Formats: sequence, C-alpha cells, structure tokens
Amino acid sequence: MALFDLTGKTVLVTGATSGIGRAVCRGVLEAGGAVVATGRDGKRLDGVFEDAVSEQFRPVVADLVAPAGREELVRELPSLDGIVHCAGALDLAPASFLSSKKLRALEAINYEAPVLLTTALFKAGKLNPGGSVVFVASVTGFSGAKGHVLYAGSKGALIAAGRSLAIELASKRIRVNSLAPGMVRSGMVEQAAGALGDEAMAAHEAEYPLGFGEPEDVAWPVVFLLSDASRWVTGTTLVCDGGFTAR
Amino acid sequence: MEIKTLIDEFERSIEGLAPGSIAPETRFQELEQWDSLAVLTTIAMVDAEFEVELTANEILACNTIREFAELVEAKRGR
Repeated sequence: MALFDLTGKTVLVTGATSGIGRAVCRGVLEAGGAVVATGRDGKRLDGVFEDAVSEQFRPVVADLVAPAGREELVRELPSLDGIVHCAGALDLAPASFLSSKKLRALEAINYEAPVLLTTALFKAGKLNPGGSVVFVASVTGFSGAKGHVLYAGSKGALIAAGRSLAIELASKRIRVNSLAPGMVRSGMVEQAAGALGDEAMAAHEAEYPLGFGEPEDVAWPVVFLLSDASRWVTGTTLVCDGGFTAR
Repeated sequence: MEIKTLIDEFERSIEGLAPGSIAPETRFQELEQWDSLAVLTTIAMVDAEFEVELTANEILACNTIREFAELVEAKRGR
C-alpha cells in the first residue's frame, strides 16, 4: 500500500477550517504527509488544529480572494507536492433574485482563487514534478438544482478549468483533478438548511442512496488523488455523492 | 410596512401566483405553488425589498400571510 502513502509530500490545503478542509488536513497527516493549511481567520485556524500543530502541520492565514493575498501566500509557501482547494462559498438564490454582485462574489472564491493560486504557484516553480492538484467542486457543476445557478456556474467553471490545466501541466508530470461531492455534513449543509428548511433537507437526503456524507468520506478520495496510486489519473472528476447522481 | 405591500411583493415573486390571489389569512404553505424554490424566493424577496434576513425555518413556522408579515415587521424593527 506504499503508493497510497503521502510520506515526504507537502500539501497545501485551502479553506482548512471548513468541514471538508479540516478532514482533508487530518487525512493527509494520517497518510504521512505534511500540511500547510490556510484559512482567513487565524484564531479559528489555531483553534481547529490545536492538537495537530507539529513539524508536519503549518497554519497560514491568507485571504485567497485578494490578488495581493495570493501573491503573499505564493512567496511564503515551500515547494509543494499537492494542493487541495477546499475554500469555497455557497449562496442559494432563485433565478429572479440574482445580481452581478452575488455572481462575482461566488466566482471570486469558488473559481478565480483556486485557478489563479494554482497557476501562480506553477509559475513560481513551487509545484514539484509528480505533484497533484485537487479542486473540490460539487455535483452541481454538472447536475442542476433549484437555487444553485451561481454556485453551479462557479463549480462547473472550476471543473472545466481543471481539465485544461491538466492538459497544460501534464508535461511537468503535474496532475489536476476535480472532486465533486454531494451534500456533506458541514457548515455549508447548515447554510443550505437555513435556506431550504429542515423538512426540505430531510427530503433531499432521502434522494441519497447512501445518505449525506461526512467530511471524511471526501477526505479519503482526496488522499487517493494526492497519492502516487492515482499517478495515471488526470483531467477527471471524481464524484463522491453517496449515489445521488447515479439515479 | 403595510401588509398589502408584502402581499404584492409575494404575489409578484412567487411563480404562478395571480395578482389578488393572496389575502392576509391565506395559509401560504398550502398553496400549489409553494415548494422549496418558493421558500428560497421568499427569503431573497424579503432581503431585497425589506432588508430582512430570514431562515427557511422561520418562514415555515408561520401559518398565514399575516403571521409572516408580523415576522417581517418584527425583524425590521430591530
């Protein structure tokens, strides 16, 4: 099972204080890798990982939406063997109440930040050959849902950009894949429940053959995509949705 | 805020509602047009028109439009 091991690899995890980001950090550490974890809020970052801080774990406060924040982060980071883009936002709204402000806000964190952070790290020579980039997207990137126009658009764009990045970076043996989760029990699910109501959420969960996921259910597939076990896998999207889109 | 203003906005924003079809005593959750998208739309409408942020569960706790109007009014007062 050595191919699944991340020993000797350094992985950047953005949005590390989110449910999925946090589980990915723990997954990478458990697989033997070192983690550089970013979040906007330093206190939260320290609080979430109180027990994890070690030589293998380094928290960094960064604002990924601001170009200057990304530049600073790129300067600060060591050479990386993997990036997992977990930072993202959700804003549910019906088609009749969309605005360019809402669209730009979601696009900035869900699409622009992960894509431009990856390309800036690549340009700076901080992505090692054999490295792996994982975009945490969403099943809404290819499967429609009411109220999700802007969110789905940003995640679909991310998936599409990942495929072209995969082609362009293949000559350096850098792989780029997306991971498309369905509903995972995290802050975002609570946010969706706030917008849809508990009853609608329960009805939605009934549509998942395996029920809603836990953050760990997404973290282990991410570890696979980071590891050499997936060395021939690039430009693809791994769906992790408990069978939701299989129906 | 007059309840009439809220009713007008409600009728305008929920797909398929005819003008004049809603009264203060209407049990809006029993409407044929009431679904998860209508909940989202109602949240977005009160935010855009009345600058009030509501959760779905708060709206779903109201029986009639009058109760809903009282909820919006109470939140506006804060």
